[in-house]
Amino acid sequence: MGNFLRKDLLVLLRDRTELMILLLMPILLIVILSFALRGILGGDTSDFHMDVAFVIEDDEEQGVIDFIEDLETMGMPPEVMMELERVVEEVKPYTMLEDLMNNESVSNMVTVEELDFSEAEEALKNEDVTAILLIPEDFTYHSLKKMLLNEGDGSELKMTVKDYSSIRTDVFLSIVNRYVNTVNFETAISQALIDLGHGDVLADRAEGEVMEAREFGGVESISAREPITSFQYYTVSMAVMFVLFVGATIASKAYVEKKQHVFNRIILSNRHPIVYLGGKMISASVISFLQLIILFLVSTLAFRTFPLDEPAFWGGIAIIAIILAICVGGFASLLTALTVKYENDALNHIFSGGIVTLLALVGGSFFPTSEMPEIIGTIGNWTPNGAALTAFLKWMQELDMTTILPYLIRIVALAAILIISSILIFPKRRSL
Amino acid sequence: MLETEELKKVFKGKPAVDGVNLYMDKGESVGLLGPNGAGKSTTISMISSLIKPTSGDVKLKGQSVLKDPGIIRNVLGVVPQEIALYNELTAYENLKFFGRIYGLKGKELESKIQEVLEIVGLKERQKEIVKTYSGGMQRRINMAAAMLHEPELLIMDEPTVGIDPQSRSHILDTVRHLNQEKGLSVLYTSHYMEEVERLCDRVYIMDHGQIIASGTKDELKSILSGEETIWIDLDRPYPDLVTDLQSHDGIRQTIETEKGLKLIVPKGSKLLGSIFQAAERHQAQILNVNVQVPSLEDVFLHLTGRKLRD
Amino acid sequence: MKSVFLLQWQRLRRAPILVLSFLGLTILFVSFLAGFGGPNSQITIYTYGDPSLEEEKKVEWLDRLNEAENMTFRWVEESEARDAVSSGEAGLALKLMNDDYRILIAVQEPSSVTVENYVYQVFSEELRLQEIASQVDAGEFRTEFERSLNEPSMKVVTESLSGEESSFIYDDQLHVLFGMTLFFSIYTIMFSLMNVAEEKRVGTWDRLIVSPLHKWQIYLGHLLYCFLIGYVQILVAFLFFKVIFGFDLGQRYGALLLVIACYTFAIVSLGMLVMGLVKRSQQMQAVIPILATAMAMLGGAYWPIEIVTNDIMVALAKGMPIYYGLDALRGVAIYNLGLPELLQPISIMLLFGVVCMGLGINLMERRS
Repeated sequence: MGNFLRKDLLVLLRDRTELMILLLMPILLIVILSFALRGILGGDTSDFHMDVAFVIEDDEEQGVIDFIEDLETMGMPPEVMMELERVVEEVKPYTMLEDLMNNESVSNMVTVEELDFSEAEEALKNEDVTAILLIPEDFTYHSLKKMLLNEGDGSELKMTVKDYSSIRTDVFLSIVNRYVNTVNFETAISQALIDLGHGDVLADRAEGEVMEAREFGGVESISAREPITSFQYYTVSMAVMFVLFVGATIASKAYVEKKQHVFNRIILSNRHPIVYLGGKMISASVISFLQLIILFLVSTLAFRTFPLDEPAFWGGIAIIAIILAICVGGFASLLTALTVKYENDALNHIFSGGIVTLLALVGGSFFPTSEMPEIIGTIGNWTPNGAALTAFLKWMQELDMTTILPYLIRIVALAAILIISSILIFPKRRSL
Repeated sequence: MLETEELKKVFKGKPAVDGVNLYMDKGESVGLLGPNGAGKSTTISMISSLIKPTSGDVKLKGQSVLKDPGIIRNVLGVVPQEIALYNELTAYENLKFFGRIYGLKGKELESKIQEVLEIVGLKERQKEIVKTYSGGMQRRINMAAAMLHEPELLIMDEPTVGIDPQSRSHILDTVRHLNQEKGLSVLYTSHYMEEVERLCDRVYIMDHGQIIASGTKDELKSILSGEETIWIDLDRPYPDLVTDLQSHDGIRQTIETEKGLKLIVPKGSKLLGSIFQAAERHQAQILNVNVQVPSLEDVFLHLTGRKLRD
Repeated sequence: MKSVFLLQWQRLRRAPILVLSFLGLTILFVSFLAGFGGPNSQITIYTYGDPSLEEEKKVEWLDRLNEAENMTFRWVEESEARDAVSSGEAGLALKLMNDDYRILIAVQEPSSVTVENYVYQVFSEELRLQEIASQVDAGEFRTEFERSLNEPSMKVVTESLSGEESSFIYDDQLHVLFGMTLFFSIYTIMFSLMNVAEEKRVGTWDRLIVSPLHKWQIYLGHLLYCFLIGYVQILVAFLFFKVIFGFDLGQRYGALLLVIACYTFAIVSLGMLVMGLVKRSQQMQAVIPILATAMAMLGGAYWPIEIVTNDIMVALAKGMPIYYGLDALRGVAIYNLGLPELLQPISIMLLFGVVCMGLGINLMERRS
């Protein structure tokens, strides 16, 4: 066995290019993608920025004047007039929108430019701005009428976007919607109170006396440790996917060996054929293990993905990595058996192209299984990559072997099934 | 019909073929001999326009192949060293494909396929997938694929490597038949001296990228014509006898072999008497004596200092 | 050329499993992903109560929360919720208290922000209303409030630059179909291209070279085959989902066919470049899956490219042919764009193809 293993490893070492591809490509890809996705995954919006154009056809001051003139023509009693004029100052809709845009959390993301319509359209076409928000003529007037007097049809903000929707437009739309909803919500409360004759409550609220905000809600980690960052999740989920490719690559070597008749020579050398399988299995396991550990280490050194100073943490990671690596060895073994039996490399192509993608999807490497139907999550936890992902995540949360044991047992069981079926499938000497 | 002029090929600064001049007449059967790495395959690749020479030229009927590889491709059939077939297809499908790329079509293609299948003796099994054939059968189809377009010149690069005696003999008979009956010119490389002796009129011997000897079989053998070899089988080694014979003036070379001794002596030197006397002196038991005129193998050994299959 | 081309089909007939598998996988993936609408379609939120939670409040909050269109708040035991979160079956769990809540997570996921925002909004509005309702007749106030809310004083309308109101679409199903189909076609095309490497290894390539065929004819035969096999695979997948599942691919079939052709050409060329770069066909085997996955990720086949904000990454995405393929396909199928508007993605794919092809063939020829 040792001899076969040495041969397989030597063959791999000789082919530096392939070894580099196996070990380093996943790291390279994760590094690249982590740059790409870090902003969004880390909840860091500093990179996330957009310019929007405001086209203001409304004249707020004039709107307020018109509205108050209306009130006068309606013959409101002076004290109501006074009261309303005061409220108008509080609820001038465009001013509220402006305040929202100047709010730090929004202004970090959105920069507003005031343009006229043709300029704005040009800018949108050139993708200089994400969206145009049109504040139509008499916007203030109509809004106030509806809000305070419940007269008219209210007002309409018009948003214009490019033909393609994007996350940016979605975010901006949700900001505008939030504003509109708040206005409507507050207006509905006021109107309900006025209609029911509880103007006093409204007046109190306007005084801002009852308005003391209560603290509520919040996000907590389920375990004593910090929640796992999405960057960590992403690193682990990619790692458990890429490691599967090793299986097919190693098995593909068997195809070449069969073609070059090295295989027959090995069989003729009076060694039990299973030894050949064993060599493939172990070399795949070794490579897989190295790949996983290198990936975690490089990611930690480059991005501080994981804490470096916790030996216990790394011990658990190593155990899970070893078990997953053995399972990948099982895949390599099964694929080798099939490749040798049918003398066909297509199976390895299908595995690396299709089956791995399938396992990655079900196992939660592309997006968390929690976003998919429940059955997928359940199946996913039975795939080696999915089970390993869960084990890694649980370990990172709780550092408790007993909670990850069921997942490790699943992976071991899968590895055993893979290895046993590969032995059954592997051609016996007589049939060669 | 074919000649090469100072053919040279340099790989990474090392000359693989270093100024080869050879020629072939129509209907001739020429052998190209040489140990592994002598540059035979490279030479053949250049002749068949597979690779471009670093310098020199190949001329077919006076025209440069280098300038227009097209002129040789239609008249040339190449049987490569490896089994260059699509092994998931049947023999028939393979032949049909290779016929078509030479522009054969329809009935003509069909009759050609059947003809070559007949020649290589696999007509009955043409519908089987190549992968399932034995090594010898694959070799025969490998050869058949090069003959469909009735080439004037057949280049064969070790076409009998690693196959059973029947298939080998079949291939050799086929080549000889084509050469002698149909006037096909054959350029044949092999490790097997006896194949070349059996098939070829003329032989080139290559080593280190150069032709070191050429001529008809007899001409080559005459290089060693001044000598003959005496094989003496003994019951056990006699070191004293060896020293004794080595100091004998008439014997050019004394070599110990597994069974006894090999002596190189001038032709017709009638030394057997003194050899027997020497054996008597050392009380050596002679089991068998054999006097041989030189073979191509001996010539080869003499010229290159290497055995052919080294 | 024709015979080389036809030969590949003959070989395919003998060994169809690879191509059939990838077609099958495309269909499987699209049905699966489009079937449940992709991520974020319907989220189930495991909800449990703090021991102090009153039954009445629990019912109230659950009802109010479940008004959401795409979220279901399911009542479970605390242990179940905790298990689900820590094993990743659920992204988050919600702990209800009388007038408060906590969201419990194991992993910070961007998608959970949606839920967090929603729950926060529900609670803040509801607490506001409760506070006011406590000062007046609660029942009356609620009814009146609902009525007023139904006549909002302000609205937002969204329209696209071209002025068609309906064209603000983000079609998940089509995105999945396009993304997965283009992604899997990379495998079929590149693995089929390995035939060239295989021929060189076996020696049939030399046989073809010494025949009267020109080298370009041999290449063209192979390339045409790989092109067609990829093209047909994409077409079959599109047709399948159009006919069986009624996906709306728009009306501009000519443009659609052209876009697919340009994309396929770009991938075939990229395959040639990769073959020129690697030394052996076995290295191809290691490179192809990683390359295809990387391209799909960077080019936006798995997730929409818009979530990428980093400039370098956006630039990288624009180096991926699949990015332009997806862009153009969406343009045709969703936005009904004509050829002039598609000129940019199409010409970039073609340019990409020509450059890769040139480099690839050059590298391959230099090696031999």
